[in-house]
Amino acid sequence: MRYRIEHRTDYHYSAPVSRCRNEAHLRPRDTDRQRCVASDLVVEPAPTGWSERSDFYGNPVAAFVVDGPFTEMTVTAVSTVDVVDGDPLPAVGPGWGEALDLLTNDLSPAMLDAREFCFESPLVSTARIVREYAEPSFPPGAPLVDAVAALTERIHADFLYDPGFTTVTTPLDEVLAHRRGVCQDFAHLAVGCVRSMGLAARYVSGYLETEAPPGEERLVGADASHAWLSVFVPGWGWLDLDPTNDKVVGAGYVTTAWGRDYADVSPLKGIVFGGGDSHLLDVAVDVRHVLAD
Amino acid sequence: MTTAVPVGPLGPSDDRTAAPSPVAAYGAPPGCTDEFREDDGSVRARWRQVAEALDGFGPDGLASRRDELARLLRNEGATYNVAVDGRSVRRPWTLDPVPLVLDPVEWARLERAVAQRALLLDLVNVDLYGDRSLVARGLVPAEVVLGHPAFLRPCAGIPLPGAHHLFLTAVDVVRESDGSFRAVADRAQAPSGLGYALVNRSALSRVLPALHRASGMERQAGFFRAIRAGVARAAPEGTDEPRVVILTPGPLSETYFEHAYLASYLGYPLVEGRDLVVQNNRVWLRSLSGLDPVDVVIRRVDDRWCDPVELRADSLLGVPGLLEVARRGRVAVLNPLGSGILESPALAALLADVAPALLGEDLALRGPQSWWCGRPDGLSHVLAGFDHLLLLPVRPSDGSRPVRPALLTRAGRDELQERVRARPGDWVGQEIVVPSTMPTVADDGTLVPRPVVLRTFAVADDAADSYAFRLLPGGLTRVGADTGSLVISSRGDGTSKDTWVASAEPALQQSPWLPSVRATPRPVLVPELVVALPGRVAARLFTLGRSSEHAELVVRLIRTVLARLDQPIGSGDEDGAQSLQVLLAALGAASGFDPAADAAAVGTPVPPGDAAPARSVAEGVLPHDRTALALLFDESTDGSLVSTLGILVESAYSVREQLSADTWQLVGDIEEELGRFRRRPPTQFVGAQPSLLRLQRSLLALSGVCSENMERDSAWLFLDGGRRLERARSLVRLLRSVLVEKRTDVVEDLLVESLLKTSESLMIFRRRAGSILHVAGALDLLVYDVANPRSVLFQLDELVAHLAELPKRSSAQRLGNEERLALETITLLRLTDPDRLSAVDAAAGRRSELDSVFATTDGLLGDLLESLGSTYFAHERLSVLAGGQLESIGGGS
Repeated sequence: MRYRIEHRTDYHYSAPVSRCRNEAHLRPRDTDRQRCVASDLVVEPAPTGWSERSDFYGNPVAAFVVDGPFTEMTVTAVSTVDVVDGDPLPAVGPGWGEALDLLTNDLSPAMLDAREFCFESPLVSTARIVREYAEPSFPPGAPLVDAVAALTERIHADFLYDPGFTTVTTPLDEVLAHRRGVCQDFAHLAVGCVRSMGLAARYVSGYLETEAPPGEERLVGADASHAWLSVFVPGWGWLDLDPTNDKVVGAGYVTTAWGRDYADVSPLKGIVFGGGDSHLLDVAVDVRHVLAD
Repeated sequence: MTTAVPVGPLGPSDDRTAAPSPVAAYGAPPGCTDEFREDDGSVRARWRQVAEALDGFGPDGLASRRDELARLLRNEGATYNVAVDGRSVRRPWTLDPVPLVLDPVEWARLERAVAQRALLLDLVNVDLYGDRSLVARGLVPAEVVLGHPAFLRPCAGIPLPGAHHLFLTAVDVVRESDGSFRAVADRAQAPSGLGYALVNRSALSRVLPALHRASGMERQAGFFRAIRAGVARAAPEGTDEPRVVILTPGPLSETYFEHAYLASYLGYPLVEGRDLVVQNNRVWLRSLSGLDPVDVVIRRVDDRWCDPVELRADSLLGVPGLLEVARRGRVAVLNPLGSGILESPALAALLADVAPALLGEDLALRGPQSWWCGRPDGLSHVLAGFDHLLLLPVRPSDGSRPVRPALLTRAGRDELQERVRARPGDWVGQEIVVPSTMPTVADDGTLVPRPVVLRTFAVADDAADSYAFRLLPGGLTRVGADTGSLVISSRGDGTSKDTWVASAEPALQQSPWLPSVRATPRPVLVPELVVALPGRVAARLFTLGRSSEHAELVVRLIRTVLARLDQPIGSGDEDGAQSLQVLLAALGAASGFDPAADAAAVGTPVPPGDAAPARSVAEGVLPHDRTALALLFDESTDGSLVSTLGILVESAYSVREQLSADTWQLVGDIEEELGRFRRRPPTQFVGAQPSLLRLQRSLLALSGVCSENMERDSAWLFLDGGRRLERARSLVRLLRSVLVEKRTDVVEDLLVESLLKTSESLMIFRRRAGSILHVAGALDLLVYDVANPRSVLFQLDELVAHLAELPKRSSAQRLGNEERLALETITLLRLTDPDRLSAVDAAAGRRSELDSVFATTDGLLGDLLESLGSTYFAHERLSVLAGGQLESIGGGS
């Protein structure tokens, strides 16, 4: 499947900006199941400085500087990504206790790599209340895959999708207390639950196909960037699950980047000189299925 | 036969019985090692010389030397800022007269061990930010690194020229009861204390000159030479003469004093984050002349605050884009960003296991036995021995401190155990090390035992004998407040000590300058104005000039008023009373100083002591007395003496590195006077006279020192420019306030006399005009006489000359806006004259020409002030751009 993704961000400032310095995680990375064929990042006004690199997790990052004065800035990323359907869920896999043991004691490169995602991170707490929420999904002896599937199902059932209630930095205890949030909160919560059990989970940022295939309902989060979690299953690999829609990530999903949490992979961040006290922000995302050439 | 004479537990007989011997009276507490006494009570060999001297001084001599040290340190402006209730409070840095003396042979061993530990930390840093082989080999559990917030992923893979990542490290060591040294804390990102070690040495050598000379101790200068050489090596490749800055979080940070002290000692500009800017993949210093490139940043800002783009987004202390430039190898940040992870107690607990793997040898300087609770066996060991251990939080940045469970209540202890069980990876249990004690001078001059911890410093130096790190001989010794102190920190109530390593060979005088610098055939002196002066520093010098001038004026004026008050105003003396009222009103009008704006520019810390709000003025004083008292002592009154002095002192502290020792001593005097005013605001004028006189002397001396001793560089131009502008403007305001309204001749005579007196121009006026006081004559002298250093035009001429010398922002030969405004003011005044200004508009009974000309003058000078601000001092507002939202995180000014 080939997707064309257009991700456009408009900033409008109440006073002129003299300069801004930004980092963008907007170019989709290559993964086992996808390849980024082309990606163009266009910034207006034209940047005066530009550099690209891979971050700590191998995600492409573009760093750019825009000199003002300006009051409007637009960042548009247009990418073409080929995606293959994911592998079916592993029928059997290690029990979560067995996985925990491997992650704690095994020194093989795969385990070491996964260990990066076992601990707390700036936006993902593994505090006791998080663990308490997670525990019912992890009965002793349960296969890891089943436990995580049960967890995402519970999050989907227990939490209300409520845009506007949370911000990018709402902590997990607040999300838990109010039982509402957006895809990013649900991904953070699921990641926190898995890590609170000592297991490895990463935060994935990406997109959903905007229009659902005929006969299917349009998924929540399809008109913006989306987020989900990925759990490391020893002996099998990384398993992506979408708690917002209670789905295994497969057709219709495009990965942009992964990290420990949103802070590692936010689509755009930066520092603005000037710009006044307020600004308006508008994000538009369009993901469509296109024919490969 | 036994005698009834008590045998001192304190050993060697001292026959002298006349004066009480502080040494004989010194008793070391049992249960720990004493630096000074052997276990049998005799004085250790390395201390004999010092011990003799201590007895020679006697208790009184020791107490007076302690006071002398306090005075010297105050004159240096040596302070330590402590957070109290979330505010930064300045405390005087203190030094005890008894130095810690180390044996040369023992020091040589410790030196090697500290160097080895520094090299090990260096190798660990390379490994953790490289391939993390320590984790892959299972030597360091992943959680210790990957689960720690100080491990900064954006900092992985940043290149540094040279073999070493770490440039400067520090380790705190204590001597255990068995006599061996233990490392209790590593400092690997921005170690503090070097400046305090320097100032301690300099102060003590002045108070104990003979002992200092005789001791033959190793000097400190060689270490600072190694720092300069290390900085040069760390500079990006292809940099011939690296341009180096020291990055400070600012005057509110704990150790700001030493940032400034080191900056002036090493000759590197002291900058704040907002003084630096990243452009075209380089770091630049915003200086008066524009942008100057920077090659090396010695940072005293903690890792995460250094770059809001990639690290803490809410940091206003850093430089946006710094990390990207470092990644490209175009700037060296020392120590490299991310090295804070090396300070984790969990990592320290593992160093002994790591050393053989990275160094191929055992760790010579070990920490106390420690157990990281993230390992099941570590946790069970710590829980089992809970009451005999010290619990260290693995993330001290969270604000949690080491705890000793044995000292907690039962409930507190249970709660702590619960916390450790809940998050074992966050804790390290450590055996309790009782530090050694040594004699410290108490208030009464006796010697009492106090625990000490020695901070040693190591700088990367490939030429060093061992392990490629070179040590500062000795270091900074900190002293616990009482015998039981286990955690000794500069934040507490303890003091500090100089540290002497007795030298095997006679000490040579050393210079901190690099030999190449001294040997260079070219003139060493950099032509002034090339050395970059950050715009922020210029702004604060300008404020310093203005505030000291304004304070001087208020003091003069109030003393003039006081002189009038001293002559009792009889009930029939309407004229005297009226002139007094006019002068008091003028005092208010002269407050042309806008402290709010200036205080914001300085980033004012809270003054030392409790800044009690000015007490309400006592009842029963004359009403005009009360107004005047408020103008003097009410901190909340703009332009009052106290608020002006506050700004003077804070701006002086914030440009500490620009001020000479002489200057600093006077600032100290002024701060002391200010402290007295704040603690007990005078409720009547009469008692205030002596303080005001002292203050006036200090202020005069300050302006004298500045004009006589300061290099005529751009720093001086701004300091003096501030003074000139303030003097011109307040004189204009004063004259306008007093002279616009025409009063009776008797009253006007009194007023003119007071004006002349306030402006130090009465004598010259008398010489010229004889005994007749008249307004036109006074105006001629106070406004137009360019030979009178107090006249308005004199100030403006000076100002124009200063402005012409300042770096131009545009290459064009056109006049800058500030010069234009100054010339316009001069022309305005020149287009009229004293006679026209003093002419009274008969119908209105007032001097209309004077009113309008001076109003315009005042306005023009205000514009000039603003223009200077936007040309040289401006800083931009900074916000955070997040993917989803934008938060404004404060503004500059």
